[in-house]
Amino acid sequence: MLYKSEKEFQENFDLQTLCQKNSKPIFAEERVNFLVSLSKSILRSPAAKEFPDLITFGYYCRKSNLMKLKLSQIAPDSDSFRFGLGTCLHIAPSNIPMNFAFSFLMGFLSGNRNIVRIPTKKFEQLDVFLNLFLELCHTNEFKNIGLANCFVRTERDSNKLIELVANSDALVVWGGDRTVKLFRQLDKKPLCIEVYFPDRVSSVVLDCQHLISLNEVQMESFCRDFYNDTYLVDQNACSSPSIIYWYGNEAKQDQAKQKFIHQMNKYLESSYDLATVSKIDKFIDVITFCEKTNGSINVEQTSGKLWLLDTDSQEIKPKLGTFISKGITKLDEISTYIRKNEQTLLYFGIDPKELLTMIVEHGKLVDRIVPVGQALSIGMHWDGKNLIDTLSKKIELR
Amino acid sequence: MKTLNLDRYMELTDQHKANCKLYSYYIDSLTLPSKIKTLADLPFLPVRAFKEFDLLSVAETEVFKVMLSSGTTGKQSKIYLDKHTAKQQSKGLTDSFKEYFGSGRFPMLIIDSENTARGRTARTAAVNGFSLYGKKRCFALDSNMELKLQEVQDFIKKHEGQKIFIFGFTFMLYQYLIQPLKNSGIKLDLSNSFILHGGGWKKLVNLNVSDNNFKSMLKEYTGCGAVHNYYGMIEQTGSISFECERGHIHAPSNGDVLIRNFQTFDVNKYGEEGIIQVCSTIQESYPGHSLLTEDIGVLYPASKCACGRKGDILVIKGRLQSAEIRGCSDAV
Repeated sequence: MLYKSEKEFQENFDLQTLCQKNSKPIFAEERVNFLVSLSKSILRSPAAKEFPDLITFGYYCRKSNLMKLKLSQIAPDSDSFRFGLGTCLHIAPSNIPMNFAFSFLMGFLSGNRNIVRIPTKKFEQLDVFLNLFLELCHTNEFKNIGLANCFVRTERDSNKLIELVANSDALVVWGGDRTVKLFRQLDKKPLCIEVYFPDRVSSVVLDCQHLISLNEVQMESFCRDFYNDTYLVDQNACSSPSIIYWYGNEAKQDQAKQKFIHQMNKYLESSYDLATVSKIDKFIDVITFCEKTNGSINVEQTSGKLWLLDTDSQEIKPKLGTFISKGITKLDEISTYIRKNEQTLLYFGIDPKELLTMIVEHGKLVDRIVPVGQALSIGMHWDGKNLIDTLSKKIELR
Repeated sequence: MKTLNLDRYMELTDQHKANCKLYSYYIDSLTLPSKIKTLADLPFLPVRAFKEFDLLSVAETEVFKVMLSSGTTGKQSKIYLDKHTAKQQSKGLTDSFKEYFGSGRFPMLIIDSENTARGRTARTAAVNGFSLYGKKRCFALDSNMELKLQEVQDFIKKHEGQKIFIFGFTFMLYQYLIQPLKNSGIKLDLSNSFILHGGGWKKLVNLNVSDNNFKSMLKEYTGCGAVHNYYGMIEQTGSISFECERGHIHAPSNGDVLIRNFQTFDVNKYGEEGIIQVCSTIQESYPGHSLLTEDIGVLYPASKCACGRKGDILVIKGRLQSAEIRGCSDAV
């Protein structure tokens, strides 16, 4: 079901009707079938083709991938059962169009009834998704799914939304510190499971020798991956790196950096359009950094789109194509820069096991260590949590 | 684009660096040319910085007054003035005003309400700033923004034969003077007077009213043919660009206007549209001598206008669009 506005939500939404539908086991057959059909509709839809994020979702819900996920969650001969917690309310971020769908997906595969608060801003891919979703729910086969899962647009301070928070069995909140703070304060059921995604920071470590050795084609592919991790979302996602570590001796660091600056700018020239106002924001950000660090920061303005900062401050989080740049000769040095809310450590040309060992040794934990190109690839695990596990409960049987 | 003011701007940059810590950190952070040879090399501060930060180059005890910009779209600019800068600003304004409209004080008809004059907005600053050149002020609007027609007519009658100075924001003139006159079919006789208006065209562009429409409506309903626009901002009071009698807005003699490329921020040639940067020789109590605005404009050489003024011709084209930034830390 879809409630397009606060008014429709106020007038037509009824929690009791929704609650007539029971929780399901995780990866319930009917639900997997539904997602497979949804995946087919998305991948077949001409309207969806324009939106890589929607297509990614479509691919994620293919049968083979869902089966793989299921296997990773349920041992084939297992006699234990996991069920959804009940009603799961999702508060999706307003600026990443398809995030709501992944949040829903996790609640859905966990077996919950889902209410998803979608962005009030207009995103075409969101509308395409909803149309395809609702179309499927109108078929006899998936009628029940439509009754147990709905999408709503509400005001931020909607009293009915607040009431819903108080009556949910699970709450998933995206949207950074401000939103998290707001929802943490609200009344909830004593048993309510709350999952929050506050502001996080991330970084990337590049092996200089490896970067230097790349041929043109490889370098182009590296730039594309790096772009997808950063510029694609204005470097403003929690998992977009704000620090680049150049790993190697000083000569190599310099050489790799020059290559990166040159090639990345070339790549950005044709693929990244930064609004003039955002370019002015980069200057405003520099003043903010100066204020926070109470000093000047060396800004290397390699182009309007790529700036490198030299600072030891842990307090600043650059965006819009500005990176803190750090040369390191030993991987261990990273541990001194890992911030309190570090989420993702991206790597290129480095053995991730080495990074894991280093991090564990120094007791500075991160949530993800993933290769460049996968910063935004969201899956069952996020912020160090297994979402299917978190949003379901196990019935113990002895 | 050469300017006699460059040395003065460089001196001001040094002065502000010495006296405003945050400004000096900012300037020291940037990648700047090793030597400043032309205006294009002069570092700028985004004008929005005054909304986000407290920037002053004098001790707080020296602050004589704090000007605030209109806060309709969120945060307000805070401009710290000491006595000296405030004085320089009114002197700069007076010199320019004289150059365009002659000296002396004129009976002044303000197309706004008296409440505005007591506020703390950009409109307040403009109304009060220009009141220096007016006398016997008459506010044409009541507190509900209704035209006080009788009072206005009495005022005109009382000053018959004299040059009246009519002042207001562009949109105010359109909405609260032209419209009511048009609706009631009443025409005023201000043929002997002059109109000065500013504050931006955004609302009129949305209503599809051009400068020419605006002028011809004023001519029709007030009889006034001397209509002058100005371009200026509270962040740089005293260095204001006025529209001459030939319909061109000229950069002031105590300042300069530059246009920067939307993408590269390099300085554009004459005739190329871009972001407006304004420079002023008089701002000493806050680092406002070189500001990058969020307005769009084009420059033409002064020689294209027969009025003989030396300042480049500025054509205002609107404002930059705000950006939709992607990212995950927002759920509004």
